[in-house]
Amino acid sequence: MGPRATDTPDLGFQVGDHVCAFYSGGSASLNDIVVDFISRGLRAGNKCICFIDTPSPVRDRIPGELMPRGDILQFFTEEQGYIPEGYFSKDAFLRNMETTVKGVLSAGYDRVWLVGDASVVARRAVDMKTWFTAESEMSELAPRYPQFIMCLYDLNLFDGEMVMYVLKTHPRIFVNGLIITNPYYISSGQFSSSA
Amino acid sequence: MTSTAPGASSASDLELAINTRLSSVNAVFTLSLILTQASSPAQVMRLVTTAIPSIAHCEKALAWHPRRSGDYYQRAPDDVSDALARVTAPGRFGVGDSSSWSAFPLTSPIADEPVFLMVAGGEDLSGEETFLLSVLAQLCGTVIAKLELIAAERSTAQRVAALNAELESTISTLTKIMEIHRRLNEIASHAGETGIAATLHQLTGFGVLIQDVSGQVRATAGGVPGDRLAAQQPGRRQDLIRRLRRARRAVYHGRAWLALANPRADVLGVIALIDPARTASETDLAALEYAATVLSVELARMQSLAEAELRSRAARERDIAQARAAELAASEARQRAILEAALDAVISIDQHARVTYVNSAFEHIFGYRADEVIGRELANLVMPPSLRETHRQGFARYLTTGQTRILDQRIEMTAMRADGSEFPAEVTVTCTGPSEEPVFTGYVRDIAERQRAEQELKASRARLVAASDAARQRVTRDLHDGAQQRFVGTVINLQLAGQKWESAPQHARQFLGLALRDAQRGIDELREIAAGIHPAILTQRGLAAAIDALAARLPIPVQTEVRDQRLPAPIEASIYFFCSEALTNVVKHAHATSAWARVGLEGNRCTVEVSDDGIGGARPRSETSGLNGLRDRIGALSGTMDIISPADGGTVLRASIPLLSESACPD
Repeated sequence: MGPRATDTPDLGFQVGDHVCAFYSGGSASLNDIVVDFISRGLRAGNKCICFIDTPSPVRDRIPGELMPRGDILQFFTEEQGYIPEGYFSKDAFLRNMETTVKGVLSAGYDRVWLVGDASVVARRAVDMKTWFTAESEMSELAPRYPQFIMCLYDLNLFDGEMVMYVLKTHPRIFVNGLIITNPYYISSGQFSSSA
Repeated sequence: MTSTAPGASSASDLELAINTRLSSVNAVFTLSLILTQASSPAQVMRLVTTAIPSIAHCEKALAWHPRRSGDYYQRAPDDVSDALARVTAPGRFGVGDSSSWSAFPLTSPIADEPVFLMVAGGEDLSGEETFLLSVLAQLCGTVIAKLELIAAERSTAQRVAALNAELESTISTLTKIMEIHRRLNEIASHAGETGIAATLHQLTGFGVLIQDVSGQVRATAGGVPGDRLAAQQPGRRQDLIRRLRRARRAVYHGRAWLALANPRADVLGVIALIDPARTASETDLAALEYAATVLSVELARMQSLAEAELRSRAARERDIAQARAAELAASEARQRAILEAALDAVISIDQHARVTYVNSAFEHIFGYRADEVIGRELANLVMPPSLRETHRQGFARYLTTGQTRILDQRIEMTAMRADGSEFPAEVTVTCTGPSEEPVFTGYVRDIAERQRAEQELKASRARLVAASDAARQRVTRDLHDGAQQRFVGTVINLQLAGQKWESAPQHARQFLGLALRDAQRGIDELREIAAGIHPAILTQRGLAAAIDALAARLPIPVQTEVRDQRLPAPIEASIYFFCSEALTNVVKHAHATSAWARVGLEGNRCTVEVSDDGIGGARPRSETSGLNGLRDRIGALSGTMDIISPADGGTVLRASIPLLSESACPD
């Protein structure tokens, strides 16, 4: 699925986006970004799925009127989302994500908004090459479905080298409140050959 | 890391080279965008230094400062610090034996000395890489400068906010303190300690206890545990007060905040804010301390009032004492004046029986001057020698045992004058003063005259009794010899007349005539006797008529001059009999040819005078003579009688009788 018309002109989201965002203010900054992201999805009546370890501060900030259906907002921990088997598997991860999106769409939602924090990757010492290969392939997968994907990285956990990997694997960047095209992004194939 | 292709000759090589350089440029710019998300200079520098090996051909990157270390840079090694400080543009920089270092100054509008981004690698950086790293260093410096400015602004804002909060808190505190001052000032002047305690309780919500310096409770308000009301041991109390005095502000002790009320050097009291949980705020403590100040003023005011009251009381007592002293002095003066004016002799002696005071009457009665007797023993002065030893023994017994037979009693004894003459005296002795220094005062009255008067009274009464007996005997004799004989003759003549009434009526009439004569004589004689007892004319017509009738019966001419005025009956009777007796004596003894009787009034006295032109020389011949009888009769009415009867002739008897009220007259 190719890029479509902008659905959220105020930020510049496009259907099939795979966006990275960085935060450095701890959980408060993370929650601000997540709340803003899923609020937009809920207002559009879309399914929203969050992969964060502490969902309650986010859930508490979502007005009830934005959740007409009980399943419209769904939370998973990062481990549930990324390493459900206790270790990270790129293929399993991508497959699960695709299955999840298909399930949402089959449940009657037009679009799905996915947001996840990657802190568990640093905490659990997931192999970075494998992880960013999965991120790179996710950029290939995302445009195939009516979805918006945002990956969050804590600048306190990831150093500059990792940041450069993030930039190489996400075609779009959420920075300073706007989504811009990432000129440093390289295709999944280029990433695989350069890695 | 992407590979460089400096010598590409084909189009693909050229494209790859372009893409590679473009990728590096993109890397720098996207990284610079990400750096704007960083929250601290250290985070920025960490991201940059760890990202550089991904951007350029190098081994590592560091941040150095020539002189010092900081939160995002390290102090350069000493051997390069001077050289580094002199670096002004990006370029290669030798460190020790290695010359493969490059230094990139971080431009910063706020840093005095630049921090350098140091890049170390085995290969030389290309010109493009050097340029990109220079750009990255400048971007890094700019981002750090922005973060530092933001941090400074944030710090400033926080300080301002803190200052505003502090100012607001200060204003709030001042407002509360002003309210505290206003409330406490309002009650200070009239509500006293109780009001201060109640107001402090209202202001703080804590229980309040006010104690004096010894720990006695003076006022409470709110909840005050009972154990706090108990007085503290004095020693511990003093220790606590010393501690409070040193602290000069509220001190937390024994689950309460304590403050001293000490307006000057004195400690007048302690005020306590009961705060077991120690939750009192600064405002509460300010209220406590100001309440202590107000309490100080209140206690000082009360102390001043008490002192003023004491001074006033002392002044009043002094005035009273002075008044009492003056009164005592006046009393003593009056007493002295009374004693001096007394007719009785007054003598005071001490416990040694020595004279300490005598009055004027003493000098007059005893014939001593005061200065002659002061300090001398009393007995030697006023007692006959025969009584002195008895007096001394009695005096000593009283001092030893308290037994006395004369104190506070009126006794009669013989006293002795300065010339040795003795006289009867009535003495009363009192004892005054403290037991260890008693003062004995005797009041001595010369009763010689009174005894003579009493003896005279007794004699007068005896003469009255004798005169009364004589008069009764005379009346008896007169009745027996006179009227009784007449009436006996009357009875006999009437019996004889009765015996002759039938046989000899002539004789019977003679006897009746004799009986009538005797009866008439008897009546006349009874009248005479009655007139001697109390003449009827005196009662019926008064003194003038009675004396005229009396004079008419005498054989010599008597001229009367009697004021025709009724007087009390006893006085009229006495004057009548005075005149009767006196005129009888004139007829019997004076051989007079004429006599005079005069009765008049002189002031409140009645005077009567009977005189004659007889032989004179009249005087009472015995106690029972008629003249003494007259004197007794006049004396019975408190009157006086004088006899003037010179030997060359003529006699005057004169009496003067006070006109007493009838009720006071003897019946």
